[in-house]
Amino acid sequence: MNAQTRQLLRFACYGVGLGFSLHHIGFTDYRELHAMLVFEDLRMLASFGAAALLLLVGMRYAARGRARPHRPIHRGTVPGALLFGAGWVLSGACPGVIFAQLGEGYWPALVSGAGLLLGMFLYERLRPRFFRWSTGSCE
Amino acid sequence: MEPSYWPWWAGALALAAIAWSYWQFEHRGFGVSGSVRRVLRRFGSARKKEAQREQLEAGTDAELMALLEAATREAMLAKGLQAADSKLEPADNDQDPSQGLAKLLPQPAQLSVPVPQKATTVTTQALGAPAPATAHAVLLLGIISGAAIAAFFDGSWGRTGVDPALAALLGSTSLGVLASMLGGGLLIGFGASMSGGCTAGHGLSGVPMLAPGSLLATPCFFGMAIALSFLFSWL
Repeated sequence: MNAQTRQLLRFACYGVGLGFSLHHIGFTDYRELHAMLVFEDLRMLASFGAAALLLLVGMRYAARGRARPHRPIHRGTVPGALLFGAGWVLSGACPGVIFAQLGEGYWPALVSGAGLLLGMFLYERLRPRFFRWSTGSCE
Repeated sequence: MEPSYWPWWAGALALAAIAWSYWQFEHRGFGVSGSVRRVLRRFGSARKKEAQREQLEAGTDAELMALLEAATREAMLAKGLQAADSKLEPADNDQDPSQGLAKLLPQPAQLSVPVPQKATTVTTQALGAPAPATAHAVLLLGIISGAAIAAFFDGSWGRTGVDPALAALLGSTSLGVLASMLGGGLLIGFGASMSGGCTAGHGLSGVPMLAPGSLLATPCFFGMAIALSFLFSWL
């Protein structure tokens, strides 16, 4: 098995793991999402927060000797995040969740998925004209 | 049938394991919006250019190293840093660059500047090379598959109609909910592109790596989502 095949297998594992987890944690369920966002049920928030904390410790090992990703604060950081947060509530999904919902056979996710692609496409179209700031990355 | 969800610590372990593994093996941050963007670019209108870029990214290390070593050797020999050591004779043009830079460098005794005896190497390697778009496509398909497997096994596959909780919150018909989902999806796509990441990209990769952009973006999107949710539930 060559390196490329191994990489594809790894990526398949990340994806399957994420889809499986998103379903079982409840991120694909709007009732759970809403309960989290209005602090009725802190379970999912605790999952997310604890994961971030675990990673904070774990990354020190995994990323040792490696450069940190260059992700500075730029002019799109805050407005982009605010738009994202709004979209999250209106559709119930962040990108990963859309794919997970499709896997669950929740066909309305095709609509939010279409929106996702449209949004990304629109941004790329508008960026050269309106959003010409440095994001600190080549992408 | 309503599935029962994992306790908080199980979810935490699962998410952390996935994001950590990604860092450990790919040496890059994990993020679904990034994967989507990568796939769109590679298979979209700029196909050919993206394919070329990918080739460049994949071939960088070995080629670049060979070029660097050759250039270094030339520069040093030009400066007359030849040693009594016959290995450094310029006539040896067939020297294989893969022998490594170390063999081409002059020994400490031959340099005019004293070299510390103990080499203190603090190497900061670059981030890993970006994975090709096919790997990201496989990841996205994996998400679909993983959720499908989970849903099949707990019997919750195939909900009919839009999510009742969202419909109740928006206080609208199915069509209204779908319109909201379309608009919401658009905002997510736009916002993730603008801010440089999604929930996973910022929250599970950027924040643990203490990336300033993510440290700011995460509370922003959470804050907005929380505020809007409260607003909707009061209206």
